[in-house]
Amino acid sequence: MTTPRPPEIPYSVTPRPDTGFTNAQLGMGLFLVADLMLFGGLLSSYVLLRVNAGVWPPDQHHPVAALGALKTGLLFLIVAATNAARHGKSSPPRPLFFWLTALAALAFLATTGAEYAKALSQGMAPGVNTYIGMFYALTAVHALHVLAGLVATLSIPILAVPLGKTDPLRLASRRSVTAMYWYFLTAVWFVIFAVLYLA
Amino acid sequence: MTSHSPSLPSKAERNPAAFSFRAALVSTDHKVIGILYGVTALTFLLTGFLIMMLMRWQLAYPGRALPGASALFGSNSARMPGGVMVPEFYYQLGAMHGTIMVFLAIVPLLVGAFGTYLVPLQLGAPNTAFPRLTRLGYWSYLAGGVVWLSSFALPGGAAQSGWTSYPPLSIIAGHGQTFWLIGMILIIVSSIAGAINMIVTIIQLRVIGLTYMRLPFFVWSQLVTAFLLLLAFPPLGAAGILQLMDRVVDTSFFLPSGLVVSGAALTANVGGQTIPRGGGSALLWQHLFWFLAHPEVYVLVLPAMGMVAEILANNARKPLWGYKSMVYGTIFLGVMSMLVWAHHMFLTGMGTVITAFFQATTMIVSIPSIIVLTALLASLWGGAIRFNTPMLFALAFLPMFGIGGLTGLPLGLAVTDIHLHDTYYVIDHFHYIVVCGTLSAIFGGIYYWFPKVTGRAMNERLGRIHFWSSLVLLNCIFMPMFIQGMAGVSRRLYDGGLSYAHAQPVLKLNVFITHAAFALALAQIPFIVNLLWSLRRGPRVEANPWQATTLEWAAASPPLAQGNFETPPVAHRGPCEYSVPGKDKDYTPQWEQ
Repeated sequence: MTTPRPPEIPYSVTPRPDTGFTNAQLGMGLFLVADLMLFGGLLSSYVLLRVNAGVWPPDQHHPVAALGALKTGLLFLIVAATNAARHGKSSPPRPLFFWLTALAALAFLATTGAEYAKALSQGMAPGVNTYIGMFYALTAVHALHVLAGLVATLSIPILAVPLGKTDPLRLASRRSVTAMYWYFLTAVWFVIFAVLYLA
Repeated sequence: MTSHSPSLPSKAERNPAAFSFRAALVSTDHKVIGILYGVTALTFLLTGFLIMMLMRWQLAYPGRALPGASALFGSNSARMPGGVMVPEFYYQLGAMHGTIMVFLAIVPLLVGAFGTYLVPLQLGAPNTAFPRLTRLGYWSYLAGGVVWLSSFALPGGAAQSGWTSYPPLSIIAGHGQTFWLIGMILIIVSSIAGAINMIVTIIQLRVIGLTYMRLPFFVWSQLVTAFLLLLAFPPLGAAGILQLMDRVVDTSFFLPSGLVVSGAALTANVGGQTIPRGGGSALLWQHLFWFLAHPEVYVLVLPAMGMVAEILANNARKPLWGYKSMVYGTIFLGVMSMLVWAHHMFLTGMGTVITAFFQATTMIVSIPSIIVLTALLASLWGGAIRFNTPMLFALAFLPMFGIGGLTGLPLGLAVTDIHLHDTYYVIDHFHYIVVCGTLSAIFGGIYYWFPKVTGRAMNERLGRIHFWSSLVLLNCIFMPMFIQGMAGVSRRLYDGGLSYAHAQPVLKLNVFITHAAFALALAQIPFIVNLLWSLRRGPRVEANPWQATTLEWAAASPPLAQGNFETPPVAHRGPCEYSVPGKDKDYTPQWEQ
């Protein structure tokens, strides 16, 4: 038995004239609002713990600022590569820049892993104090987001670019929502970097 | 947009009796997933109800063996040794009753079942904007529910820190709490996926002519609800992650310094060293939790108001009175609901300035609720009311929600709240809203939309038996609780107040309440029989049996398996044009020229 073809969903790839958005753009926008509330919840917890504490940082433990700066640089690279991957309606997509984005994201995750390993070996476990606890909470949640971005980015050259040969609009839509996501993660990282590494 | 020649679905696909379980597992169709949500959530509703009956037995007859308990739990079970409930088990049941009812039963019924099924139809859309996200939402919800229920089988049992999971108790409690947090994170994923999908569907997939002020009020209520879920759940996600870390990797985000449990200071083993835990704030959890959970209260009632509005306008044969005021009131309600959370925390001694602020916002948030309730009441004036089962349930919603809402006012004022907060009064206040109010609306909605979903009508006589018995019994259960609450009986006692002198005069009410609750269970039998019998044997109905005006009634009953409509409808007018002067019939559907 052949199942009937699912109905075409309107405005999947072309913007709805009166709203100016495609479904995916609006959906990603809403997701980022929700995500902002997630990071907002974590960051306000950090603020509340910090103003309640007598001394801050509570003891000598501190994340390594140089590693934080390296991660900031990698996110800049991700944003630059994502922007370079933009293509016009007539020009073909450029898979190279998606691979570059993915590579930078992978380097970001590897740095985070190395950072955690080093910290744990020096006795900087999450339970040492609430500052270090928040360091792990915020950076781990952010790193999980980078991992999700890595998967989404890889799906473009692996799955979507072959698809793009027949449907450039859908490919452009994927690229633009992935780019929105990376911009957001980079912006959130600035705050995390400032409050955790430069504290 | 390219158009494919639509392959017409076979008869089997249009007939829900041929509802294939295997096809449902992979389906991305909003109707199939809406039905899955409905069936699953009704099952959880029954589970939560059975849990409550176990608790009610304990409250009415503390220390007496529950008949049949040894068959259910085994004669030397740790939870019910000799059929008598141990306090720990009572608290597990209490925590899981609340958790199951809020997150697995009522919200999934309102948003998952009715929202997912009806909103695309009322918009004239072929499906939701992101069909695979709809599927992800359902399966994530089911996984969360399975994690929660399975936690009863753990050696220490399920979570027992209440549905609010207040630390420090929730952090030093057994593994059930870890399962609670993991289940909660799955529910959060499900809710956020559903909320994004709902908002994008409403904004993007409205058919031609369906402007915002032509949306059925139900769609508006779902839109505001989705925004509440979208904005309120992530902070609980943040709190859940932090509590999980407190439990698993020994951080102390929610543990204040100097905490002594069972005579010993709390310590953590960090890098081979034993250090005292602390430096955190238990209040932080309460702020993050109630930042979700107060908007969640409105999630529990807004879609119910939307359903009541649809049923009421249809059966009063009148337009909604003050439709625009209701819409603006609902939006205002949504915004204000984000600013009232700390009225749950008057007992924590936050300080008078904060208390005064939240007291003021709480009084303000009652205004839009009263606008909507007044508009619904005024819509009845001068109508030619049809008193069918859905209408009876919708009408019952108004006074029940009224009682629930008005009894909330003393809880919004700190002076009275301090006395009432930990008593049965609070339990009663929100059960009047969620059970007597929202659940009435849900039952009304099931009777009202059942013909659309199945193509068959439900039995009216059984419906009336179900309605009248449930309404009377609900009030038998909850009215006496106000008396107990005002007498000062604490809501957290596993023996119902047996050991307190001030509770003695109202203790005998516990027996009455418990008998009423058991009778309420029996009163649901006509409903279950009606549901199953009508599914197979109910009289067949045409597309628009209630002579309604909104777009879901333009589709066949049941709607086409693929794409809902033969041709996408066009909206020509507002959502509830009933009894328009000069027309030859008393309803003018949105889709008619």
